[in-house]
Parts: sequence; structure tokens; C-alpha cells
Amino acid sequence: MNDITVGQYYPVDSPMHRLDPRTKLKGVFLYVMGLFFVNNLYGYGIAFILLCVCVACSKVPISYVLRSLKPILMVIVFTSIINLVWTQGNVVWQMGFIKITDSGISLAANMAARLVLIITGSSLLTLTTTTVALTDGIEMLLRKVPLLSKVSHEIGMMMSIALSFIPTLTEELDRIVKAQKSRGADFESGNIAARAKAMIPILVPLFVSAIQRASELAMAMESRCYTGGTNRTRMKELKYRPADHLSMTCLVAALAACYFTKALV
Amino acid sequence: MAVETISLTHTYAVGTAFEFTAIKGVTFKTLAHEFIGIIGHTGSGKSTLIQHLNKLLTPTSGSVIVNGFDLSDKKMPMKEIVKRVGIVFQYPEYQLFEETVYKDIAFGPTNLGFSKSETDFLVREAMDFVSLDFEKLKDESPFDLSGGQKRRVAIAGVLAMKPQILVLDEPASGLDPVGREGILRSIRRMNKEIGISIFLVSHNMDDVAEYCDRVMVFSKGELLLFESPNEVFAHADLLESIGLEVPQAKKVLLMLKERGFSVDASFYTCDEAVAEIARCLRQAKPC
Repeated sequence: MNDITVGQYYPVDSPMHRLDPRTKLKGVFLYVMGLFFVNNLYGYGIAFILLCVCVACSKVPISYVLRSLKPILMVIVFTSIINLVWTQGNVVWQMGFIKITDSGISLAANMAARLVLIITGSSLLTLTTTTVALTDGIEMLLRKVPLLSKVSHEIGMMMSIALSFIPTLTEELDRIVKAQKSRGADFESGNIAARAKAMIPILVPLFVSAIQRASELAMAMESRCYTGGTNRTRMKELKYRPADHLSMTCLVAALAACYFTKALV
Repeated sequence: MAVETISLTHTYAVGTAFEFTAIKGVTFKTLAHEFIGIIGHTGSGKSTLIQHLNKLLTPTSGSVIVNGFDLSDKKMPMKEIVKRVGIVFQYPEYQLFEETVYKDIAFGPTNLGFSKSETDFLVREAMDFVSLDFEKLKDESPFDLSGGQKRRVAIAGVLAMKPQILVLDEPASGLDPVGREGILRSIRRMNKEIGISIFLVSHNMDDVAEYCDRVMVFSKGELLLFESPNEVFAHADLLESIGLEVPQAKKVLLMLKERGFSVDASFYTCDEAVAEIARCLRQAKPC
């Protein structure tokens, strides 16, 4: 269960951690969007350097950031191979029916670079932002979206509850797995059908306790007269600081530079 | 069965910001058929220790030896280990999942490869041991039972695997006094009648005083004391300094002594304390 890096906060104090969550959310959004306009080596170079600077500012160990790539490594390899083999263009290398074309190579490299940068960039967001700050940020940003502004608080609340349940349920899962292992349950051998069946002793208790926890939480919130909505104030107001404006400006400038590298080639 | 550990150390999440050494350099040796109590403040490493006893966790360094077999030996399959060492975790009722009580208790023995008739016998025996009515409850859904009954079903589920060592993490927590005593009595019977070695993790000093042959005291991942209850509870100041206390009965005796009564404060169970106070009063009264 320790491989899940997305959604896992890395607790250190750094300039990156101190940024307003809205700045980071907007930044990641712009960065991901920006990457789709990049199509040459210089552009990726700038995007890569930008990411490196962000990682350096975050004080999160590189190995930790890279761990987020592990689950999608197969996806990257797979799409690269498909792109490499199936794209039409000038043939550069041929063996039997396998043809590798110049546009295939460039498409594969483009896709791989994009995926790596997107995943690393967005996992940097969750590594440096607590779930509470993240949902606060999302809520504040949603207030400005026309149709969602009325329910932005409810959406934020639902997200923060869902996220705060993840560690609890992970812990619960760990406990149940250990308990069933102690009763001789075997999750590692047998064919797919046998393994799926072996999940029942884990999933049933997990669902039972998740539903129970949810209803207990609802009861606790109701008994304290919780009502969401417009008149709710908050203890920690989000405020942009000079650092936020500065980093946003830098980001936009870097992305613009990425875009205009088109002119170079 | 005897259990032995040699400078057992366990560190979680080695090499990250979450690195944490839960137990360090724990060495002890228990005898067969012993009833061992494990006490310590929350986070003192009790849970980490017990998970080593059936190889749910493997030591970062050091070793665990159960009845002469080193658990780190790769040739030993997990099933052979869980057959010998049963663990009942805290709030074990959360592990129930089957449609009927019978099926749930039979889960362990079936996994271990017992035949149908053997399993049937084991389920009956286990239910009998935790005072559950076999005929009445076997076809009930475990989710319809009361809290205390669920707990018993869960314990029976581990007991039905015929372990020679049974580890229980707070088996009585959250139960009413009757349920609590019932469960602890059943555990004592398992120990006395079938000779299962027991490891009982508890926060309740009275239970530990009443039932255990020897007591392990943990603090911050280290094994501070491993002696008879009598000797352990003689260290009242030490226990207090690590966030524990002495049994209620002993507390009363200590307070009486402080007020100038000539009681012997070395007793720690309720019955002994009553006898000692009666003796003291009789002596004080001029006949």
C-alpha cells in the first residue's frame, strides 16, 4: 500500500509548501495545458527545467517524486511502442513487418515526455499541499465558476471528507488483511478467479466499516447542526502573498517561452 | 510452545521522512503454557511486537524463534506459522464477513486444509469454549449479533485453528463488565485446560494482575521489565513514569499504608487485598 504517492502529502517546510493552494492548483492546470502546445525539444527542455526548479523548491526527495511514475510506467512504455510502430511516415528502420518512421519516433517521444511531465507535475501538487488546503483551494476557485458557485462549498466538503477517509480506510484495509492472513487466508497464489474470490473476506468487512463510518460521521455532523452554504465563515482565510504573484508570473513567462520555441524550429 | 526473540528491532518506512523505529533490541524468552501479559502506553510497540509472532511483520534486525523454529527461515510456509500462532487483533469483530456464524468460524480451519468433519468438530469446540450456543447461533448472520457475541465469534474463528500460541490484543476493550469477565475467563480456561500459551495485550492492570503468570512492560519500543506481576507492580513509581498505573487493589493498599495503617502493600489482586485489610483491621482491634 506504500506505492500510492498521488494524494500523499510529504511533510516538510518549503517555499513550495507555503504557496497558496489556489496558486498551485492554477499553476498545475496551466502547466498541463501548456504542455499540449509544446512540440519540440527546446519547449520540453524549458518545461523540464521549470519542473526541476519546482521540485528543488519543494524539498521533497527526488526518489519520492519519481515514485509517482511507477504505477504508470507500463502505460508510458505501451503507448510509446504503439506510437513507434503504428505511425505512418518516412521509414528509417525496418525489420519484417515492423516499420519505424521518423514521425513515429517524434510522436512517441512527445507523448512519453508529456506524460512524464504531467504526472510528475501533478503529484508535486499533492506532495506539497495538505488535503485540507487542497480542498479549500478548490472550493475558492469553484466559487468563480458560474454554474458551480452555489454548490462550491458542498463540493469542497465532499472532497475533503472523501480524501480524509483515504488514510483511515487504508489503515482499516491493512488491519483486515493482516487479520485474515492470520486466519490462513492466501492472497498470493491461485489463478485470477481464485484470487478474486480471496478478496471477499477483505472487501466485505471494508465496505461494512466504510458505510458505518460514513453514517457515524453524518450523525456527528448533524448533531452539531452542520449546515453548509453561503453564510459559513472560515478560520483560515486564504490570502495571496507576494510569493504567489511572483511564482505565477514566472510560470506564465516560462510557459510563454515554451510556446514561442515554435518559432525556433 | 515457547517463544524467543533475540534483539528484535523493527523500523517502519526506512529511508523516508516517516521513518520510525517501533521496537528496538527486544530480547525475551517465554516458556510453554505460560500466560504472558503485555502492558505499555499507546505507541510503546506492543502491536508491532505481536505482529512479529506470526510473521505478519519481519524484523528489521534480530530474530523471532517459535518452538525452536526461526520464523525468518524462508522454507517455513505462512500456513505452518499461522497454524501454530493465532492472533486476535483489537476489535476483531471487524473481520467478520461470512453469511453465517458457522461459515465464518470455519474460514480459518478450511484455509488450513482440515476436512469437513474435522472442521465441524473444531467449530463446535471453539464455540463451546467462548460460550456460544452452537445450535442456536450457527445459522445466524454474524452482523445481526450483539457486540459481545460478535467478539466471541471472532475469537472462536481464531481458536478453531487450534493454535498452540494465542495472542490477543485488548480482547475485552469496549465490552460491558459481564462480557469482559466472560471473555477473560474463557481465555484462562484455554490456557489451563488445553495448555495454549497466551499473550494478552491489555491496558487494564487489574486484568493483567488477575490472569497473568508473567508481565512484559514496554515503553518507547523497549522491554523495560519482564517479571511476575508481583515484582512488576512493586515498581509503582516506574510504571507511573511511563504512563501506566498499578491495579486498583494495590492502589488502595498503598494509600492505606501512606495513611499509617500497617498493611502489606505487596498484594495486587482484589481477593488478597480484602484479606489483607481484614487482617490489619482485626489486628488493630483490641480483643
